[in-house]
Amino acid sequence: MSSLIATIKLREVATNQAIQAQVFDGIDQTHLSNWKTKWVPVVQATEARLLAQGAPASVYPQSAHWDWNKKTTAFQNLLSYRMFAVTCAHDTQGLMAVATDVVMHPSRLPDDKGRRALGLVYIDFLEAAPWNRPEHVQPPRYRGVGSVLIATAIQLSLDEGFKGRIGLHSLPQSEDFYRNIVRMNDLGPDTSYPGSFPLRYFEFTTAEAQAFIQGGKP
Amino acid sequence: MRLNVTDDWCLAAADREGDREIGVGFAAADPTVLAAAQGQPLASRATETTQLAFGLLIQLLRRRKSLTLAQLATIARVDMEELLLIEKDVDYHPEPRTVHQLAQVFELRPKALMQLSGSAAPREEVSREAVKFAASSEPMAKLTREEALAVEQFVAALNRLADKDALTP
Amino acid sequence: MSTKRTMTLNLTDAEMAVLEAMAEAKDLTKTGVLRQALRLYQLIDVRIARGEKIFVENGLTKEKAELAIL
Repeated sequence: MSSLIATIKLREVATNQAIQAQVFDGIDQTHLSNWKTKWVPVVQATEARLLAQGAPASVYPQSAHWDWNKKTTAFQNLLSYRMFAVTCAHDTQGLMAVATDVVMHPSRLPDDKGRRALGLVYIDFLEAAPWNRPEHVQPPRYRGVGSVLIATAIQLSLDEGFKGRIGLHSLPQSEDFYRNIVRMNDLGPDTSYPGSFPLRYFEFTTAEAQAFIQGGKP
Repeated sequence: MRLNVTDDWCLAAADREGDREIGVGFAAADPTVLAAAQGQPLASRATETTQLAFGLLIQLLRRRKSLTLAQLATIARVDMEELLLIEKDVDYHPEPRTVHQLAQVFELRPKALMQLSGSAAPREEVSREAVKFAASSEPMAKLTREEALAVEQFVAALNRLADKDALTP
Repeated sequence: MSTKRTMTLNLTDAEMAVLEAMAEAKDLTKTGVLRQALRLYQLIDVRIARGEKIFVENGLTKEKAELAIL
């Protein structure tokens, strides 16, 4: 089940126009089939192209292995997990899955009273449609999907009583965005998941998150 | 739940975001891609071949000088255990210092040796030369004339390629 | 998704004391604590229903003991 929670604007790169888009709470079949029939072929085409060019593995698109169908099935009925989609011009432009249970994802930064291990909204996955990413399609179609989804996670955090706190593990190619544009705190490579590559963990404090969503610079 | 962001906020954020990558999450991460992006050695066939060639080269260079492992370890001021692993274990990644010391002892360009040892991703030409060299050597026999020639040619090729690298910015 | 339903809760003094203490410690409202508790209960319950087991590990000895859940 999916419900509209906001009408927003994205920047259309080709025309520089502001284009109306939607944010949905919950992912449904339209989003999933859009992912399957439109996103996946573009990602596969990029991989095939890179393979043919003999490019080293380091330039392969990261997040090529997500399977949103599987994710939705796993998360569907669990209260802890929420999924969100950004749509525009009848296409899904971005997808996000978050966790809200404090035991698995306690905050690491101290709050203003010095308390840690508080609840936050942890972003499990976040992905933009491949046509919005230069590594797949040049020039990309729309800008702003990432910021809108981060704002959505912060809003959920406020609704849950987590005061806006969010956390995430960034893919290496996305570190610039989270560190320098969103301006989250970079807590460094996380080695606490043995068997996984140590992705860098980023977190927002209450004040920083609220500043981001209100448009002021933290 | 409702999200309340103004159009102006969205557009300002979009302009700041630009075309940057925004992907998040462990399940998104492809280990081989990440390792390569961080400059770490990949467990690929190309790397294994060059590492095999590295071990073989060190062994043959040592034998050309009629040195035991222990003697080489002393002269190069490196761990004998590590030398053993270098010569025998194709998966072993030596310390950069060790590679540097060995380069000094055998009068090779350190950079050339680094590409073989797995400290840096090998260039395709290096991989090709490594395969040629490894295929033309018999490790258990005394160093034959053929092996000696192979060693010389391989070393020359590595040095040539390292020089080429030095010229490119 | 956004509709909320109201419920009256009857708790013992001990339960209320725990609820208040946790709300303070976790910087949540009492409602927030109970919602968290429900989420975690569901997460664990789903895993157990799948046949998985939940263990706790002794921080010092590293001994694992199975957690018995209703």
